[in-house]
Amino acid sequence: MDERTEAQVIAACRAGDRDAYARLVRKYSRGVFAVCMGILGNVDDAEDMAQDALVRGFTRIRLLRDGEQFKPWIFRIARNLCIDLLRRRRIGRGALEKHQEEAERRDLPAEDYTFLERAIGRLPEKYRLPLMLYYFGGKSTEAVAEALGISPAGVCSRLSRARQRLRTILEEQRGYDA
Amino acid sequence: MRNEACKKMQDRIALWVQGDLSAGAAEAVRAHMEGCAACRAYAEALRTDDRILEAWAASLGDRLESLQRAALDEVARSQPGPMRSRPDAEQWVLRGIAAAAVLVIGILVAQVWWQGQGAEEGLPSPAGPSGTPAHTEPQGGLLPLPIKLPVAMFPGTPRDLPGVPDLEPPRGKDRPAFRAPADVWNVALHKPVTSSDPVPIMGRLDMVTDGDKEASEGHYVELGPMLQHVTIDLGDVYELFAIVVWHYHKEPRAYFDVIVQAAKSADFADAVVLFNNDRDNSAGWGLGDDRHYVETNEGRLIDAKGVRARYVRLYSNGNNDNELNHYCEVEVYGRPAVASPMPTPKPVPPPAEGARPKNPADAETTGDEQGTQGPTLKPLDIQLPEQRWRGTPESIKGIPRLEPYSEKKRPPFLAPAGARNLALGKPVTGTDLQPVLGELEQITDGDKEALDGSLVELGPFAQHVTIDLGEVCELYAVVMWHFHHQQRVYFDVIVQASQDPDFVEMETLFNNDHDNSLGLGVGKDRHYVDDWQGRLVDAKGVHARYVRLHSQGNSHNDLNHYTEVEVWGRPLTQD
Repeated sequence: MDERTEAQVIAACRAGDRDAYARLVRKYSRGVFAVCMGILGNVDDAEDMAQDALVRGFTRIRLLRDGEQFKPWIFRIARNLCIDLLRRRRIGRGALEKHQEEAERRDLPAEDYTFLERAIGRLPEKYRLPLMLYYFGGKSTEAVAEALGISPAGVCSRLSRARQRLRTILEEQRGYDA
Repeated sequence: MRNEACKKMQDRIALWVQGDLSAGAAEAVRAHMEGCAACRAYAEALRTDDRILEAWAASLGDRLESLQRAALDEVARSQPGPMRSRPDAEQWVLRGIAAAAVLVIGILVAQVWWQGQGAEEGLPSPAGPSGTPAHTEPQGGLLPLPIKLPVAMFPGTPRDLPGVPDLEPPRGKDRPAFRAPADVWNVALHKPVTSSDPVPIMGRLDMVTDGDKEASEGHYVELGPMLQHVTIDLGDVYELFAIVVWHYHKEPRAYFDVIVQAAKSADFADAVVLFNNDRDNSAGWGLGDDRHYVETNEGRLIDAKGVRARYVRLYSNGNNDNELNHYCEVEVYGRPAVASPMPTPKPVPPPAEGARPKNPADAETTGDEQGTQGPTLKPLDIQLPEQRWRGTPESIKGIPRLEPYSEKKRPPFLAPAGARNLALGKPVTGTDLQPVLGELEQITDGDKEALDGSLVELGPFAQHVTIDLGEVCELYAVVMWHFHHQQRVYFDVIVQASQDPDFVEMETLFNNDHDNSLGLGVGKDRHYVDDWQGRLVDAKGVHARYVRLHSQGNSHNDLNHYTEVEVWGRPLTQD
């Protein structure tokens, strides 16, 4: 992170330096989005929650313990926000379905990944999370292992199962021809 | 792609596509695909998926940039919040001195008080109106709950905590005994715990039900900020009488939005709220009538009023000291919902005379099944996987009480005719419900090869798996393969058999936990090197439905592995 260590950048953020925080946002926003996508399985929701998490990261940066890494901390904030969203959705049953219907009625982008996103949304979180961290984190199994706190061998296993499960879901989804 | 051989090959093809197979295994996959068009097509489809996923992730680049901009716009309008209020080291020292002074005064006061109360030592107080569960048990059948309290970390209970409205005043004496039916016990002990924060900041979720309720470092789990919950799955529906929760009780604290629910269904659609001090409905579960309270070593006892439930969930939303959430322990006192009086735990009956399998050395004593010398004994037909390493395990060094390794084949193990592997395909549960590698069901899938895709890797520290045989059976042998691809010694291996899922009464078949680090008793069995033959444990004809296997890491790392477990025996109904 340029000439400053991450600890120095965090110290600056604690002092209210927003430019310093912008560096952290640029560095970790893909990963935060991957975590949210991994838990929520929906791009729009993941975008909203990732934004919330990054803002909270700044407003709560003084709660970060001395010597604690920013990355696992911001990932945990993102994860908690997503779980909280899911819980609130469960209370207001039907809201999620409505949200999905609305999303599907929207104009499709030129490159239509609707089927893929829907299939990703149907993956169990256990597989979706490593898959998202992998594709948004430069396809590094080591980085996924670090983020999830499991061994690289464990990541390989989960990724391979995620691919198989995704393949099955894609085959099930009508009209998809990979 | 529909036949069984190809289905088994899918795992390896997926690993091969991502380049995670060893050269030998990759060659085997290639050889298979040469003659199998379906598997070639499957591999190609996986590659296509990989390209599509990559393109999809790239297509979201613009949205990620706008996400960054939006976040930074909002950051520009925000300020960092206050510092973590946890005291630094220097403050700890000052607090320690102050606490010591208060402690001395407290002890002196307690001594004076104690002299006046001496006659009551060890006697439970009579249950007050609020201490009697609302069920129909005759008073004579109610006994005080035997709740063991952890060490008190501070004397007295403060009357006031800054920033905590509507705080319950201190009681000034011990909590009155809570009376419940005599057949009630802590049904949460060692039960699996899940949470809204599955990756705690400190500790592990299983600490919530590990029986250790001390508040010092290493004895509690710290969950993230904001509203968090933990859920205990009791495994079955129980009639619940009391829930006792210890948050962090090392210093006087009050936790906010403490809500305790019990439910029969995992989604809590039928949840009953047993406690709620969420005074502004910030958690969204309704306004709570209960008051804030100060955590002490007594924990908070919540009357469960005989509700029937399988799941217990506890919420909190930070505390007066910081935004984090902590649990030292949660106890749930109950009894099986089906039972009226719960039978006292049944001792595991001794095997019938003659049913006990003989060691190979005793093989000549076998007799006719109808005769007086017991049933016919036959060698168990244990199919061994491929031997992955040979010779002396030189990589194993410095392991105390290690059995000398022998590559010789194990002598046949004799058991009554008709014995079979009862564990095959049977459900497996465990302390680690999300294995790092593989799925728990692979432990009884019949595949004991030490290959990629055959292994279940459980997390670090002590873990156990439990196989439910579905009915009480007569067991002759348990054979377990941990990870036999390399030379390894697993620590604290304990094998237990029981008729009840809680293992209240059980038989220990094997134990090499020499320092009792698992708290299940000092083991006398020796450490051993895992190999392709697996470890055969003599079950001595015990009658059991559940088989539980513990371990705590191995000589290579702190993880726990199982390739397969076989339980050889006969259903009792067969006789």
